[in-house]
Amino acid sequence: MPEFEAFVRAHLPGLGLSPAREQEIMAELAQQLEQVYAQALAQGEEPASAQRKAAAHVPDWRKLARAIAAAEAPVAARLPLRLRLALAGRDAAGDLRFALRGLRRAPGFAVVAVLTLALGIGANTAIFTWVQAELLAALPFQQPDRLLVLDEHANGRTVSVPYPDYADWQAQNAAARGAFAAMAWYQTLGLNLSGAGTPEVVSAANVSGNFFATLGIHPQAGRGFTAGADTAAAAPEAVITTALATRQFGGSAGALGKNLDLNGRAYTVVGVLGPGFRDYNQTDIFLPVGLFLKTFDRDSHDDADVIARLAPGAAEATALAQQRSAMAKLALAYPEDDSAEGAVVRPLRALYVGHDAPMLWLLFGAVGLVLLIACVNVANLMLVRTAGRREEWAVRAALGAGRGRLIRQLLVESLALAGIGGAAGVGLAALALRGLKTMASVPLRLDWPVLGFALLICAAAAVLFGLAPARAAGSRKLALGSRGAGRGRAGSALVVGEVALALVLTIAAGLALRSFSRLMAVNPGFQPQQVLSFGTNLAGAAYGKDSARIAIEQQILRGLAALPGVRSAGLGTNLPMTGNHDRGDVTLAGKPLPQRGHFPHPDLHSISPAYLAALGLPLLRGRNFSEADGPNAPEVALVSASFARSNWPGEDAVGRQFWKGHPAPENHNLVTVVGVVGDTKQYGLDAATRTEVYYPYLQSTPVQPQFALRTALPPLQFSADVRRIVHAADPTLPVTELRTMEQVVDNSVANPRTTLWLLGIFGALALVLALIGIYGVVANRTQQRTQEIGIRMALGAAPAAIARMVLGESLRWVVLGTGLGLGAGLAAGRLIAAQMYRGTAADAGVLAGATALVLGVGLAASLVPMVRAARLAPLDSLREL
Amino acid sequence: MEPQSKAAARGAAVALMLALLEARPRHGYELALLIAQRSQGAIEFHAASLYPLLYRLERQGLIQGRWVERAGERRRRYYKLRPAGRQALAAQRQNWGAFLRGMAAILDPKET
Repeated sequence: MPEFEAFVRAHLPGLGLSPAREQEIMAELAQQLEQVYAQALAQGEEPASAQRKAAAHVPDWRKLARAIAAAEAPVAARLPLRLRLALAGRDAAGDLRFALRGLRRAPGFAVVAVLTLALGIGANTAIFTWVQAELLAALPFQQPDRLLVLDEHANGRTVSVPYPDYADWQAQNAAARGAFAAMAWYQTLGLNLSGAGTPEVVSAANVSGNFFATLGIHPQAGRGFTAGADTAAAAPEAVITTALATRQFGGSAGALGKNLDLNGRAYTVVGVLGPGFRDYNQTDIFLPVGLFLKTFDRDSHDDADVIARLAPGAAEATALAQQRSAMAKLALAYPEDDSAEGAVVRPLRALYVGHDAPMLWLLFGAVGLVLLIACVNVANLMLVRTAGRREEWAVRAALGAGRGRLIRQLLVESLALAGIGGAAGVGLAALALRGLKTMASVPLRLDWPVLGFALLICAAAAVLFGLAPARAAGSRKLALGSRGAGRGRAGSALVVGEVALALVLTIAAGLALRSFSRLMAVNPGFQPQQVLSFGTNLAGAAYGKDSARIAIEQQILRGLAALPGVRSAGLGTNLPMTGNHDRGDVTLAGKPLPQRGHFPHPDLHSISPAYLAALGLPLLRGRNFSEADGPNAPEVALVSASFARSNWPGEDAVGRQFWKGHPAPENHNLVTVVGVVGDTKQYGLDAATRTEVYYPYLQSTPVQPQFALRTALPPLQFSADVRRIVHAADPTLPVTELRTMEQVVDNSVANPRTTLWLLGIFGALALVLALIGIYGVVANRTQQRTQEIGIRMALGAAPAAIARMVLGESLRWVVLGTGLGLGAGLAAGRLIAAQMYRGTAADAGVLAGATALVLGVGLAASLVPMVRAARLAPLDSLREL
Repeated sequence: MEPQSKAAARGAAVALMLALLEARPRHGYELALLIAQRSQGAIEFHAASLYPLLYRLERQGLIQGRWVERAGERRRRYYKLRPAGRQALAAQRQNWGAFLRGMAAILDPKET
C-alpha cells in the first residue's frame, strides 16, 4: 500500500497548530485516502488507478488547510475571554503533554537534566532561604526602615550611650522638634531567673517607657509600661516574650499578673509580646529603666543603645547632623566625660544583620555559579537532544511549523524540565535546611518569598538553558535537516564556560580551605583540650557583699577540685573566646600622664590561682597568685606579655606598678605586677591579640564567675558532678554554658568553618557537573565524527593518533576554559580573600591545585570517549554513512 | 444571500453528522459513506468539507475523536457523541422536523 501519510505531509500546507494536533490531522487525512484507495481496489480497479483516485481525492489542499485552520481557530476567537483563556490553557496543556511525552521517551536525558537542575535550584533555594531570613526579611516593626540606632564614638570605636547623654538628646530633640519622632533607651542585663523550674540566666533589658511605642508594637497580651517607667518611682513590672511565657508559665495568658524572681527581686508580668517579636540580643525580659537609674553615670558605656524613629520627612543625614551637634554641646558641658566623643547613626537593621552578611553574600554568589554550571550542562544536553531530533524538526519546519512555533515547543520543554527540576530542588532545599538551621542565627523557613525565588530561578534557568537549543532549532541549517546543526561551536563554548566557572568555584573553595587551615594553626595561647567550663551568676541579693561571693566561690572550687579525675579547678571572669569581656583604663606609675582617651585600656580579668593551670596558660615570669593575695594583702596583678611589652618595652614588668582607672585624689589603689603570663586569643583565633590584666579573685571578686576544670577524663563526664556541687552550695544558682573549651574554640570558628564546608560542597558539585558536562559534549562530538574517524582509520590512522585527536580537541576547550577561569578566579579571589582570615587572592598553591584538579576532571571526562573512538572498527563506523 | 445559505447548509450538515453518530462511534470515511448511501447519492461529503466540519464540532465540544486500534486494522480516529452533542441533536431534530413538515405541506399540497 502506498505511504499516504507521507503524501499528506507533502501536500498539506502548515496549519499553524500545535505539532501534536497537526500530526493527528495528517494521520486522519491519510486514513481517509487509504480508505478511498482500498475501496477502489475492492471495486476491482488496478493499484495504479486506485492510487490516482486517492491522490485526486482532495482536489485543493490549500483550501482544505484553510478550512481546517478556520475550523480549529475561529471558535476560540468568537468565545468570551474566560473561555478563550481556558482554550489557551488547553493548548499549553497540549504542548506540555507533548513535552512530557518527549521526556518520557528519553528517560536518560530527562533524569540527568532534572537531577542537575534539582541540585542547582535546591542549593540556591537553600542559601536564599538563609539570605532572605537574615539579610532581606523586614524587621517585625512598624515602618522598620525609619528606625535608627544611635551610639557614640570614642577612640575610633563605637561605644554605648550613657543614660544621662540619652536624657539630654531627648530633651534637645523635643525642644527643637528635631529629626526624631521618638527616642527610646535599651540596655541589656544578664539576670538570674529563679523560682519554678531550674534556675537560669536570662537575657533581659531595661528600657524606657516609650520603647515599644517607638518600635511601633504593642504587647500581644496585657500592656506595655506606663508613663512612670522612666522615673525612680517605677513599679517593678516586666514585659516578656512569648517564648519565656511559654517556658515559665505554659503560655501568654497564664503569665499575666504572675511574678518573676530576678536576682532575688520580684517583678510582675504586665505584658507578653507576640511570637513574631525579634530582638537582636534575644532579650526575653524587659524591665522599666526607672528601676536602674541610680546605676547610671555619664562616664559608663554599658551595652546600651538608643533606638530612634525618624520624624516624618527627616532623613538619616539630618539625624546624623543633629546627633553630631548634640555631642558637641555635651562636650562643652561635660569636658571630663564627653570630650573625645562623636556620634554614630545606623539603621536598626544593621544590628540584626550582624557579621554573617559578607559570608552569606559570598555563599550566595558561589551557589549562583553552581546554578549557572547546571544550566550550561542542561543546555548542552538539550543541544545534543535537539541535534538528535533534527529529522523531527526538519519535518515540522517543512510542514510549515514556523520558527516561533518550534521555539515555543522547545521553551515549553525547557519550562517542563525546569519545573520538575525546581520541584525536586525545593525538596532538596528542605533537606539541606535541616543542616543549615544549626549554622544560622535566625529561624529558616521555606516560606512564600523563598518559593517565589525558586520559581523565579526556575524560569530564569529554563530561559538560560533553553536559549542555545532554541537558537539552533530556529536556524535555517536545522530546518533544512542539516546534519551539522547543534554540533561544534555551541558545544565547545559550553565546555569552555563550564570549565571556567568550575575553576572559579574550586579556587574559592581552595582559598577558604587555605584560610581555615591558617586559622586552625593559630595558637590560642591556652590549651583547650580536656577542659570543662561553665558559669554561674551571683547577682542576687544574697551575694551583695564580696565576702559572701568569695565564700560560695571557694566552696564550689573546693568541691570541684576534690572530684577524682579533676587536675585543677579555677575560676575567672571572662574565659577566652566566650565573647565576655571587661575593659578599663589604667594609669602607669612613674610614666607621664597620657591625654584622655590614650590611657592603656587592657582587658580586665579576675582569676583564682588555679585558673592558669586549668586553662594551660603559661606563666612567663614572676609568680602566680595564691590564696594569700587576699582582700587585706597588697593589691597585685598579672599582666599579659603584650601588656608588658607595650607599656614597659625592654624592661621587666614584674615589680612595676599602676593604678586602676584614672588618677584621682581618692585613688590610692596602687597595684603591683607580680608576674607575666602568655597572651591569649581572647576574641577568637582570627582576632588581634589585646593586652590583658589579671587581678586575684579575692581582691576583685567576680559576680558572674566562669569556672574551668582541667580533667584527666573526658570533660563532659563531669557535667552531673558540676551541677550537684553548685546546687549543693546554693540550689537557686544557675549552671550556664556547660561545655568543653574545645567546643568554645570550635564555636568561635563556626562561621569560617561553615563557609569552608559550603564552598567545598559547591566546588565539588561544580566539578561533578563539569565532569558530566564535558563528557557529554566530547562523547557526542566523537559520535558525530564516527564516519570521519572511520575514514581516517581506513586510510591508515593508528588508534593512538585517533585518541590523540579526540583528546587534543577536548583538552583545547578545557585549557581555554582554565585560562578564562584563572583570570576570573583571580578577580573573584580578591573579593573572597577579603572575607577570610589572612586571605590572599594570589595563592599560588591554591591556583595550581585548583587548575590541576579541573584539568584532571577534563582529562577524566574525555577518557571514555577517547578510548571508544580509538577502538572503533573502521567498517562499523563506515557502515553508518 | 450566499452566507445565509452556506450557514443553512452547514446547519443541515451538523444535524446529519450528529444523527449518524447517535447510534455508535464512527470514523470519518464511514460517515461520508453512510451519508452518500442513505441519501442515495443526493448528499455527498468531500474530505475538504467533512474534516473541517468534524474538527469544528469537536472544538465545540459536541463530539469527541479518539484513535482506536483493532486487530488486523490500521488505527482510525473514531468520533462519538458527547452529552452536549446529544442535546444539540435533540434541538436540531425539533427544528428540522417542524421545518420539514412545513416544507412538505407547502411543496406537496394535495396530501392535505
